[in-house]
Amino acid sequence: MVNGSSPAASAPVLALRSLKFSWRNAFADCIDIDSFDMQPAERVFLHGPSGCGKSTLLALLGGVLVPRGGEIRLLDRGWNSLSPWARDAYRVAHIGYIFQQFNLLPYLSAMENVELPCRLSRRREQNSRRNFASSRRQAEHLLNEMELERTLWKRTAAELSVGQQQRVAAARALIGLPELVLADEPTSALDEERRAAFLRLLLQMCVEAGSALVFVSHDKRLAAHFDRQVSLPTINRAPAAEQIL
Amino acid sequence: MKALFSLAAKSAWNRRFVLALTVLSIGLSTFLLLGIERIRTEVRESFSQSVSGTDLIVGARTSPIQLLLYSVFRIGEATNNLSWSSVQAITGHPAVAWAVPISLGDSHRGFPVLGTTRDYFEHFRHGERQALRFQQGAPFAQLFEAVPGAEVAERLGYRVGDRITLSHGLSEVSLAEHADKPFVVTGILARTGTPVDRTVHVSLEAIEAIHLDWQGGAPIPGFTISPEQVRKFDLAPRAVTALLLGLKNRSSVFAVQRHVAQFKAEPLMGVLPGVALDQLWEVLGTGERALFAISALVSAVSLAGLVAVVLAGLNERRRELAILRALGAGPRHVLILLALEGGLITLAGVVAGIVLLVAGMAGAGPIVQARLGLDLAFSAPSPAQGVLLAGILGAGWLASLIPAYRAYRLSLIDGLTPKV
Repeated sequence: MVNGSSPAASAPVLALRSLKFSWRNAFADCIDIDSFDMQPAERVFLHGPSGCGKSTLLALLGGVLVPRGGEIRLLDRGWNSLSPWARDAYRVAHIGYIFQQFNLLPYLSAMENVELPCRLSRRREQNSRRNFASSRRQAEHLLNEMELERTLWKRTAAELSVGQQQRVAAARALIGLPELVLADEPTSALDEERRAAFLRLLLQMCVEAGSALVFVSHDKRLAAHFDRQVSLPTINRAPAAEQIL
Repeated sequence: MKALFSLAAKSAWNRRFVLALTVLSIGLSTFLLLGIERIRTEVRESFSQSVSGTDLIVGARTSPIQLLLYSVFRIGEATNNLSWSSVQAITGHPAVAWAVPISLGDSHRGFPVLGTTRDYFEHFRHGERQALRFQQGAPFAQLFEAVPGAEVAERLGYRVGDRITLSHGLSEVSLAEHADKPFVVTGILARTGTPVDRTVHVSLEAIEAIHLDWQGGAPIPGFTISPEQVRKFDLAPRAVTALLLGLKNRSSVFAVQRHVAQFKAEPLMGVLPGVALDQLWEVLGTGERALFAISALVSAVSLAGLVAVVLAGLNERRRELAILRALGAGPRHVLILLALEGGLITLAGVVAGIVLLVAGMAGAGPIVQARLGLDLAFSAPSPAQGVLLAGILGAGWLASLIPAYRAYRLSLIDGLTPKV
């Protein structure tokens, strides 16, 4: 599929309608999307050339940026209806985020980094406890599944290699079984072999957690691994990005 | 919240070197501020406690401050003396309980020599009406006996039984020595923190005795009187520098003062030590105000330093805070965290400053006591110092709110696309 609509008919985990966004002081919108839905556990590959607004869209989907017009609904709530404070809480409760540069806290161990979302969200903590007895047990399970050696679990993030950090970041996004995982070019720093291995692990873990995944990349060779691929320049009606993240 | 505090603690431990420097910087500022304040109050206290229990100081007519300066602080010289007959007449006034004549003008290795009577050791008071105490020996009883103050004895290493000679005049290096009439140390006074510590006390008769064979401030050539022969002369003093008076009833102080001012035989004056001390402090108060201004500047600079350090640290922590925000910590959490961290750093700095001050006082206190006569022993903070400490804490915490507010305003987008 190369359009913005999902073929499934169940209640979408993410629904986007008439979305318009422009940067302050910009003359024109940089994002203008009529419609975009994601079903639960669906895995979407969002691609487009560098500078086309992929990260901006991801920030909008995650409620980090607020659209100028239209609506984005995550589960049953629209980001617009929430106060900034409530948006922070709602985001951590329902979204796992894998950053382009992983953004692990360097002074925490791999295990502590993975558990962090459960420390900041009661819902993620409860999900973990319900399915794995405790957040610690789920963190161990995720790190095991991500093939991170047990001896590395207590090392600080700063002591891990890039590949190891990436797997820790993925485990952190998946802990507490969030309904949606947003991944912003997480494989850009890896070589081809490691990229494929990481992607296989990530997709497998998303299936296990029942999380929908939006995977942003400009590398179209990865598209085949996903349920659906979406080209941002195709669904975005904005004529040109004035200012792109 | 608990998780955030635990995170904050780990983050702080991760930045322990920078934080330790910040704490040290605040600690040094607190140390300076409290130290200056302590010295300021101690100088004032030491000054105001130089003399107490003396109701009136009588001397030749001059300015009250000058009379106080030479009779109590041993600074400067008397413009004139008062005759012994005047001393006897004033001492005989019915309101006078005790009178202690003092005679200045000689010195011993730079320390002033005070000729007086044994009554001096009984009646002179300092501080909170504290009497003089002897750390060794007893007052002089014989003619050529001396009682040095604590600082004189300590600096020159004197003990009871040592022999010393006096010099004519007040200069430190004197060519005119009363070397032929040595004195024996019979006692050493305990420390008072007043000019008494820097004074050598001898009897009035001894002052007369060493000047018998002198004229016009120099020995009479070819004429010497041995210490043994000197005892055969009438050694009653002819004049003294000043007279310290204690009254039977303080309410008669103005009557006695008037009596002294109207004294027929010679022009005299009597000053109330408390009033003269206040007048003198008016003059010296500029120094005190300067110290206070320095304290205020030190506080301002140290707090500005605190803001700068926390702000610089914030730039380093921008990414960390943004990651926390992206993972669900709200801006208010970040604000609380930074304000809490700022408060704790300031508190730790203030505690470090107090520890430094205590250590500094323990280390330098005896030296300052010996050199300057200031008692810098540690004592519980005074109410004024308590206010100062609360001020540092409050101001430090308020200063940390500036970077905290800045962090509060940090866009969450920083956490998603951090600028490395």
